[in-house]
Amino acid sequence: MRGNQMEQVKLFQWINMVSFAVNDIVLYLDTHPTDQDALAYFHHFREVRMKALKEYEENFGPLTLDTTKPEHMWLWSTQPMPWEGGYC
Amino acid sequence: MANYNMRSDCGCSQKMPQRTNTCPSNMAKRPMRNRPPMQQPCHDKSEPLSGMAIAMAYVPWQFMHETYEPDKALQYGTIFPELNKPFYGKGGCMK
Repeated sequence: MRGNQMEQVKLFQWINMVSFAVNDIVLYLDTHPTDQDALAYFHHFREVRMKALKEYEENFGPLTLDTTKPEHMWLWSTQPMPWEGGYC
Repeated sequence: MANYNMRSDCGCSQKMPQRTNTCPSNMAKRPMRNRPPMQQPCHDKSEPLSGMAIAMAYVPWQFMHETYEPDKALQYGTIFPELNKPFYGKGGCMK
């Protein structure tokens, strides 16, 4: 596996991990809306996730519509599809 | 047992309203006695709770303590170590 592809896979795995962390704390917050530790956890991992998504977008293309930057070219449909090794 | 469900202020002791029949006509005509018995696909497997009395379920209030690192959390399916329980079932049945 090429180094660049390795980095892509690692970053994608990291995004999956922190996205899960965000999703799981959201479930907790649904029943504990004033828990300050949980809110701090949510803010931390949401920030980490957004940073990772931005880094992924800058290097490999957008994973979510929120991180698309279609100023010059619409990458959403022109980057590799999941069955072509892409992730979105 | 205490009259836990007999409080008058919560409306619990009031008679349940009658259900109106909202089933499609083909379901409404289906006689109860001809229904097949409930499927029990796991009946022949070991059942650790077999013979125990049916009880009320409860969910204790959760407090946030330690959390897993993101890699472990994704692997275990929870960020909370106290919710990382062994699940023995497979395909809807006990192993």
